[in-house]
Amino acid sequence: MADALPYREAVPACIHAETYKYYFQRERVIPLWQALERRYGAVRMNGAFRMMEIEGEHFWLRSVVGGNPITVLRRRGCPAAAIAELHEIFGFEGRRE
Amino acid sequence: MRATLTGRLALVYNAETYRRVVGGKDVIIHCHHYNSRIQRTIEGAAEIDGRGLLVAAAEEVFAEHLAANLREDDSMASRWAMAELLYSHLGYGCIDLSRVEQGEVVAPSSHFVEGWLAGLGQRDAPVCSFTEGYLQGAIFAASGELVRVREVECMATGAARCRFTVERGREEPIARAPRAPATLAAAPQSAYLRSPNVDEEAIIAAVVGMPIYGNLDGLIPAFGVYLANTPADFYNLVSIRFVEAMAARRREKTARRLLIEDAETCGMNTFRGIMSSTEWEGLIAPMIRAPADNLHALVAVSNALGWGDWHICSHTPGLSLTLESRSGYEALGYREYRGVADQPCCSMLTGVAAGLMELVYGEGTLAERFGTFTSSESSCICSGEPLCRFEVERVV
Repeated sequence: MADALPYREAVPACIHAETYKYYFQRERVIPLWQALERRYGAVRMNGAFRMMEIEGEHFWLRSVVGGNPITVLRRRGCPAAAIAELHEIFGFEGRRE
Repeated sequence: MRATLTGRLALVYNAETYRRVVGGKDVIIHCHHYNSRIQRTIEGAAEIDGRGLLVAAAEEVFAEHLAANLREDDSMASRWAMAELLYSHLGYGCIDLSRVEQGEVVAPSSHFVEGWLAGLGQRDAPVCSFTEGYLQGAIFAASGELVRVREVECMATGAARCRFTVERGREEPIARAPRAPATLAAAPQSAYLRSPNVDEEAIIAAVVGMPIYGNLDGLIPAFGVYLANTPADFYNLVSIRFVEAMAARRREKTARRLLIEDAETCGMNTFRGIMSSTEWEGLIAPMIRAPADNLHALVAVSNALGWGDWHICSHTPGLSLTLESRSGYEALGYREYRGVADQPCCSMLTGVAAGLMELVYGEGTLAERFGTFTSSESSCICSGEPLCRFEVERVV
């Protein structure tokens, strides 16, 4: 299972048809969020829902506290290049879509 | 200036009735699934002017809503700013009124465009009829001028932004539907089913504490859907007039069925989006021990969204559900606008009740689940009853 990470699952009924939840190996989660903060801006916390979020130009990155999995909510018009760059940071190569 | 104006729109939440008041009006939170489907149903009905109906309702409601949030000593700049702010604060997107006096308004973001494209796909015609009505009402409230607004470019059809023209010289006044406070029968203190696993108060407190107002784009991306705060008056005028217009063409049953079906579909879509969201995963999923817990949690969420103080009276998992609503906005609105009705009127709660069961206990795609439960409203506040009651059963 760990060898298959990261992988993603589709999230239904969302604001964008291409919404996915990405799952990562546990030891990658903290450095990954640090990298996401450096690239896309500060993490916002929502204590009531135990949720953390980064709002980027083309998408929102959301997770429960702990940081894994990460839901990527794309805005309309989110360019493929922005997702390709995010996938590079994630180390996601498109397995198990 | 913006901070001062925003203060006028602070949420007032009534914990006893679950009503949310923004800028002096009861608002109901629905998502893009519901708003776009209601629009499609009403505008798509043959033989009636559904688009005109939506525009007129928005114009009427927001002329009043904006006026209630203006002060006599507000400058014209403040009045236009308040018109922009109310729109974005409620979650409809952004409108730029800087060229309104030159007859043009542009909108770089739109709840209605996002909702339609996300839920219903590309379309050939502009989609922002609600915004046309909002602008007509807001321009009247801000300046006293009667205008007609037409959307001439729309992002839903591929434009870079929505653009509206403002035509002056209108003489037809903005309608004001007569309404009177309704004297309601006292609701009895009923015993409702609770789940020991689901902390409904924690869910409601968390949802009420959320910043459910527009972001920099004037949108509210929460629970995996786009939310918007819409005055109950708008939904009520639209649904009452839609049913009446259809009844005049001997299509009353069809109208009611369509409204219920929209709510049923949206109950499944909206709540599936909510149940797939990070917010649900963080707070609510840890409370879920049995399928019925999902029902209790979803009813708590919907109460926090202002839908009507409804609760589960009885429930047989997978088979049946009975709910009571103590202050559904549809019933209260009908009483205020039309008086006592001869039949129940709560299409939204009726449809959502079935959608809840189909989502929690159904199998297959949402399309395959549709219609597997039937829902009816057996008593309604609009008919003089103390409560609205919804009975849901599996179709065998």
